[in-house]
Amino acid sequence: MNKHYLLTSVCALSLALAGCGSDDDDTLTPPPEPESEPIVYSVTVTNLTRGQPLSPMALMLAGPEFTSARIGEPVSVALEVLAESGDNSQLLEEAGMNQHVYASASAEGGPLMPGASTTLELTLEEPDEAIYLELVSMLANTNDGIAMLSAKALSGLQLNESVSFMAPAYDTGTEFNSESADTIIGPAAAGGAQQGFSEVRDDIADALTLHSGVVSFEDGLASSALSQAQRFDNPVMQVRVTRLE
Amino acid sequence: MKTLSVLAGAVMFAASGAHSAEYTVEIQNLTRSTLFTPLLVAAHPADSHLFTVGGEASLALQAMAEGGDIEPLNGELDALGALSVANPAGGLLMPGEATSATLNNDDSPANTHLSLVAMLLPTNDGFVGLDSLPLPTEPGTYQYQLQAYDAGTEANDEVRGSGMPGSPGMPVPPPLEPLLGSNGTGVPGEAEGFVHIHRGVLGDNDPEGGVSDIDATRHRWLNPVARLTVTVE
Repeated sequence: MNKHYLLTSVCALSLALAGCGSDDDDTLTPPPEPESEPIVYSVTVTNLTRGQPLSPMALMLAGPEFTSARIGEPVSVALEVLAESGDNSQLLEEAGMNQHVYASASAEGGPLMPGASTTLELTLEEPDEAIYLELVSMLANTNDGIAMLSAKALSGLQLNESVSFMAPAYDTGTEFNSESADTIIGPAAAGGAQQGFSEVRDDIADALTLHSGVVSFEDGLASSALSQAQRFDNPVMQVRVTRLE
Repeated sequence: MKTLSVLAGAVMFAASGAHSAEYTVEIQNLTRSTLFTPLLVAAHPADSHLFTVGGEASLALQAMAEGGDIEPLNGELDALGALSVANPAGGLLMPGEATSATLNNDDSPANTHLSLVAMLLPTNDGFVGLDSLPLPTEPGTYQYQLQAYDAGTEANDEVRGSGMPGSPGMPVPPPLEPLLGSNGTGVPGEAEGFVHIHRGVLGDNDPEGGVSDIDATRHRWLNPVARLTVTVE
């Protein structure tokens, strides 16, 4: 999780050295950089649903230029992989290479079960630009549903202050919502093929939207692997951010 | 952060330090056809809660969520030295209706946080809730949207029954009587064991039987279920 922090530091250092080389006064050691205090955020996520395990959180702190997804537009393949299989590694790998992402992390310990909470801590050096929270996780008992917070401003948060957010469910629009046991990876589909990522995009529209919820076999979709217990309403995730340092 | 009105998403910055003021708290039922039983509205210290999402419901919360009985919770608030207003609407708060309560913490400045609850009908153990909102300190009008929770203490069988804690089924007060079906066999399931966002009722379209006594066409809802308006004098 410190990768971007390190990258940022290395860039800053190389710029300082380059500036030094064109300098006339023969100083070999660059002047010490002004000490900037690192910022530490604690992020606690609670699963608010009755029957939707949340795949390991992908958490990013990013600048104003960063966009993880746009409503009404196709999502990236990395977000599609997360939304269909719960695997956040590709998304976080891309975040690691994105100059607008200050820091990122994955929650540990497997899926976050209904009612459960998990806490992550992220450290970053105070950037020149504002800090925004990006957080995404798959609703495991859906085809391609995600819980997501995007572009939530944290810069105003002072030491020991907290801010709470409620996250809605989105449909990434990458997989048809058949709710069948062959296409859902979550425990409700046990016994089926439980296919995760497929590069085929066969939803009714290849675009990110708010999720319309699941139907379930108890509400008349005979081919659904889901019972009424996997139905959900917004919000699906509560996120509390506290600035520790 | 100064006088912003907080809209959907309920962004709230915890202001530190006690502050006293007079607060007018208005609650409006936003649903189409879901009734609120008598509301309990309270200002209390920061570290107390009527309920905690993800946690097990207290017996007092269970009594409110399964039968609309707010006395046990109100007793706990009294013991804390909290300020509370019980049943500001004088009975059921019908869809579209609003009610208001006044809280003044001039004499008890430690009561800095606002919570409220009321049972939702028809449900088994659903309630509209607000958990420990830091009361704004700057004069102004602030709006929040409230969600429906499931207390997790009773199976959502959706059939007529009892409002007594621990007894199955839903209480049916007179305004609801003609709107519900009967002889439902009961939606299968069990008590969830933890407080969470309500997944909504299932219902069916068979007033004489079927699985549920709830009318699927009439009684479903989506969040938010209530609007809270806090005015700081």
